Amino acid sequence: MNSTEHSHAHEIVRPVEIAGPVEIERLHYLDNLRALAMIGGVFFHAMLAYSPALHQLWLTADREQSGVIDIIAWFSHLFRMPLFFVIAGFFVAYLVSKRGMRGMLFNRTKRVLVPFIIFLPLCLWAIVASLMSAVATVEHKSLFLQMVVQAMANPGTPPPPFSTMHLWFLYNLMFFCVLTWVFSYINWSRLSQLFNAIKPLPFILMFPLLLIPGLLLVESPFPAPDKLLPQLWAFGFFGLFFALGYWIFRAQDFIDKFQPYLVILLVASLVLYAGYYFLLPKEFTFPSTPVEFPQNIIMKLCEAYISVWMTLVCLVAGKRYVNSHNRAMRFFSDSSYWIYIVHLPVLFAVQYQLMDKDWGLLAKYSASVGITLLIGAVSYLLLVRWTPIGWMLNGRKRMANKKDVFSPV
Amino acid sequence: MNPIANRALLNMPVIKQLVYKDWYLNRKILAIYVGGGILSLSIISLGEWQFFMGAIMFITMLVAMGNHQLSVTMISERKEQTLAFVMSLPVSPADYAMAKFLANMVLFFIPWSLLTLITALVILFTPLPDGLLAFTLLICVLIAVNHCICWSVTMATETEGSFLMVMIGLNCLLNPALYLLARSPDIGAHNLNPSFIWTSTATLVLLGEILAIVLLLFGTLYFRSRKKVFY
Repeated sequence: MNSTEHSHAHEIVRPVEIAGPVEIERLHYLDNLRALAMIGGVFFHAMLAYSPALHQLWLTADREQSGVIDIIAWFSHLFRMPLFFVIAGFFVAYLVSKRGMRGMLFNRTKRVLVPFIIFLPLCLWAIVASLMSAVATVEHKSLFLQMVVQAMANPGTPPPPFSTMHLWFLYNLMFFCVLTWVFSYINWSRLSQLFNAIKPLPFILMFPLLLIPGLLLVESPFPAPDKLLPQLWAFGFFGLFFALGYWIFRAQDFIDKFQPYLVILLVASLVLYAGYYFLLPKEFTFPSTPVEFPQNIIMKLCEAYISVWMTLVCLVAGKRYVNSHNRAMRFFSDSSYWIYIVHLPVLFAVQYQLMDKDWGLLAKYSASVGITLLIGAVSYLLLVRWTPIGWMLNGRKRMANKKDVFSPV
Repeated sequence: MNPIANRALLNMPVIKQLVYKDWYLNRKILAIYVGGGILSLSIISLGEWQFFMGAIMFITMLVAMGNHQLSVTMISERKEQTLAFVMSLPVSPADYAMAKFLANMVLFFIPWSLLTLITALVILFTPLPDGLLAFTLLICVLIAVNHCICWSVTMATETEGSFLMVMIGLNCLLNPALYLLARSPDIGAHNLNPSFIWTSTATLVLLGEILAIVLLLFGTLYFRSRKKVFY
């Protein structure tokens, strides 16, 4: 992931001027939030198998379904990746300030582009392999699996479009890093002043509106920008969250300004989401059914406001509640990048096996998430943590660091 | 006359510095065109007319990037009399020619290679017909040929007028070249084919383009290096 070079919380620092020498404040909460957003992806993708809305479109769609899954999944979908990109932007700003633009680009190439190039073909291969096995062995096939079977029976069927799958965020992040260099030649001082001076309430009300043009280019809920061609809407949506994170690094106490609004933003987001969920189609189709103009704009407004407000809620709550550092959190944060990269092929392989089982939804869901996390964590310990794969993803651990890992800060 | 003009070996440390100087002077231009290239690629996926708009914008970015940097590194240098400063350095005309060659080619061919690679991947891995790939590759190499022609003329004449005339002429000729390649039964006829088809005509055109690039670059470098004076 983007910040893996600095996934070690003790390295994530921020200079704070306190009447004299520069002191270093450790920002563990961003590291922990980043890990939560990553691991949240495992929970989210596991939920999609039991989502009535995605029943027609998901490879591992199960016979067991529940509307509750949809309510939770689509709510988290609105802010999990925006939060991730805010943190990514923050760390990129940190890298620029520490190593300069060239150093940042070099670092991101090592930590983001190289893993993307290496792991995308491997993940694609693993998913296709498990898919072929599922086509042959699963009895209760999902609608999508049945389509695959039909397509395989007709050799003339065109292949599906190329997808960067769950690694789309790495691909997009690399574009954002290049654009950071491109935009670094523009004089942002006025905008920065405006950003630093903005009061919480105007920000809460105005910033989401900037996301609307990007969101209007896609359907609701916004899909993953997983195409090989860079997606303009992703620049206008995730790109703005990335820019927000970049500026948060430079703005003093930006997150603290929103402390008094924590509950209000959370409640307002939940209320908005109730309306949004009511308007959301109960079953998604491909291609998606066009939504009429007034309803469409209302849904986009809901998406924009919920994504910004909930991202702020996560940042404020994260600073308040998960700004700690211990052995477990450190392991959690270190392993999250690896777990996220490998989770989808593993999750699919597990869920294919569960499709023929007569278990309840909760049992299937818990088993799929639990096994995926277990395999991810064990493989991290055995194959990644102290190997060149780990050096590539998280940076090389020095022995001094090793000591840090096991001692609470 | 520069006393070290007849020196046999190139002064690589100073050449490196001169290349770095040109890189430094061009960094903003490069950033603008890379940003424009990314924007044009993101427009391509929006729809049918946006595809044509994005594709034309993409070609424009490639052509403009090459011409703009030639203008900055060579024409502006002559106009702003930076050459007088360069002459005070321990460099021969051959060193200077090599520095200009390396700076301009690296500045052009790194982003060109990246953008061409991305374009090829986009054609192969998106619903765009793979048959478009041969035509696109030949056009991308043609743009590189045009850049090399501009570079050669600018190196030979070092005048803004000749640079502008050649640039305008080549840009005017790009459209007929697009037309001819698109209408060619061995190249453009396969554009809408779902699979990639490479014909012997395409090989001939590509070899011709590569030969033109090699001749232009090394011919210009050879004759420019033989000069005993900077002007």
